Amino acid sequence: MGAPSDVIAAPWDQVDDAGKPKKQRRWSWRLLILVPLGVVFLMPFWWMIVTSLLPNNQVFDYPPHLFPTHPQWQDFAKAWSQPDFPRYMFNSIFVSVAIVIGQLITSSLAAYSVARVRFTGRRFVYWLILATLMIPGQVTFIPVFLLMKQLNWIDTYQALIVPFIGSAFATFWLVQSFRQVPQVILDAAQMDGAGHLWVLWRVVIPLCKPALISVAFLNLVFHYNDFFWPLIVTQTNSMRTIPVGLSYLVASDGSGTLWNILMASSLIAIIPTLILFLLGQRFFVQGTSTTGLKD
Amino acid sequence: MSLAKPGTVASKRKPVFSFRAKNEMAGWLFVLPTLILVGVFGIGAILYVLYLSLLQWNLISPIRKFVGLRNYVELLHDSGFLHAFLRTMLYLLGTTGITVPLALFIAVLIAKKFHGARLFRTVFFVPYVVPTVASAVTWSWLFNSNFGFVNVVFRWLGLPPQPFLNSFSEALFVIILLYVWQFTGYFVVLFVNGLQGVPQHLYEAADVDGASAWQKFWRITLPMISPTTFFVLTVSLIFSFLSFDQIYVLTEGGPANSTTTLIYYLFEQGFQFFHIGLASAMSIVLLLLLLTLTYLQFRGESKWVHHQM
Repeated sequence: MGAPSDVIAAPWDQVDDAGKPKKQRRWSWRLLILVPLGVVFLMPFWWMIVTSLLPNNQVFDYPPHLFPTHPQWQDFAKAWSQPDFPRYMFNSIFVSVAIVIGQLITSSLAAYSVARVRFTGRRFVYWLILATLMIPGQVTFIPVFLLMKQLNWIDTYQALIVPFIGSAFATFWLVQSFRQVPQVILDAAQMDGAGHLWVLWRVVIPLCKPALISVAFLNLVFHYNDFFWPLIVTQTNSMRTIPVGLSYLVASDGSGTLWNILMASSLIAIIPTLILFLLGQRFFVQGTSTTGLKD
Repeated sequence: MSLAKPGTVASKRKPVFSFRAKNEMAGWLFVLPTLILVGVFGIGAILYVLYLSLLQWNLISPIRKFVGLRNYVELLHDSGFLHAFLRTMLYLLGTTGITVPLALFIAVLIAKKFHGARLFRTVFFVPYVVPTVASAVTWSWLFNSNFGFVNVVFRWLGLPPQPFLNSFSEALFVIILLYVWQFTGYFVVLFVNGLQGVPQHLYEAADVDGASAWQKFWRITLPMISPTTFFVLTVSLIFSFLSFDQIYVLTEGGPANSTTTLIYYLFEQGFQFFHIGLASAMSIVLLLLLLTLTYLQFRGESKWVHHQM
């Protein structure tokens, strides 16, 4: 493994031996299984889209509409104009972006320090950070909630953002990548009298950009989707994020629910993660395939 | 430091020395923000929850009574906790038992390059990036007992419509299916990664010996990817233990507590009834369960798993 970019090659792009033409014919029988499976997996999306395009009086038709013959786009407008819906969307985007920016700053500093600076205690420090990787957030919700209460941070952006800025996962991930930068490059920079901050910013980060992007994509989606914590620490609509807002839109008995509006709302909520996923598919898959951990 | 004439080798020593001091400073300074945050919200929080688990406290009252290990003893006699534990085991069995073999099956089909392999990987992976709440909302519509699409399909097939989420025996299974939908694609990616690491020459050697595809799978593929399998199993169990969003949206633990898993019970006790001590004790129990799982994975990996050179 040489330059960081080698390490970052997405598994999707790896060409294996089976890529040879002689095995190409195999695809025929594979598709026989994969196509029906794929259809089953896409069905929920399809059902969602079709429902979101129906007028109120057709939602409960039998037989159900399987294709949007007369798409009603105003369901999306209605979804968007539900009370505080744009606010939920803004909160989710704002909070997840703020968390990820914070994480990238703190963890690239920490990762650089652990991976490339020789100081006493660095192995212990790294071990300590890695140990917290094994603590699932849910287990610490009670004490952290009490701390937020003490700080009077309940129902504020701080409560939604600050607990997640220090990320063992991001640090671990970046350490792996920063270690791949050849020592000669760093030596050369330092020989020229460059400080650590300059080396990190001008040399290491540009070389390890793919790793930073992977972390950013994975954690953006993770925190955008997060539900349990925002559910606990928010109390007013002005602070609620879209997953929490969405959960409030589902009527408890289900009979009075306007499913077309609800499906349109869900689709709007999905759009940001879908865009991120389509933009950075290879970073995504690479990120998950190597560690299998989030946050 | 002795003074040295400029231009000699010794003159380089001074910057080297100050360089080391600079390293100490920069090293600690850079790592400090992460260390503090992780220290407070990770390690500090665990110590605090450990302390809270020894108290009897309802958050509102100013009285915090120290009760030692009584909360833990109480958990053992709490029928709600034991019920939640059993439901969690059932849930874990369902989610992991279906998702992991299915993911391996799909991964074997798409690990080799063929037209459309990428497309299928995307198709199976997409549910994973959808917010769980949005998926759960969709599920509640798909499995709606009156007008849901699944019951429509049941009718077409001549099957009786099912109550699904309103049924004690079916609700947990519907939630398990949501898990399968969400995580299969994620595990497919992990498996594909493992499969692509299996040296091709092993298969070529087996071909020479005239091995069937079935034999190659059992004798080569499965042993070679066992580290991946072990990892996927562990991750799947951990994800299942922590499944909360879907339960909150779909059933709120009902009907008749049939979908109250440990994490949901913890939420009820801690954040609805504010039994801080009891919920903290549950947090510790949950943490220990998850750490045991991780430990078993480490152990298993070194013990029975076949490692490639």
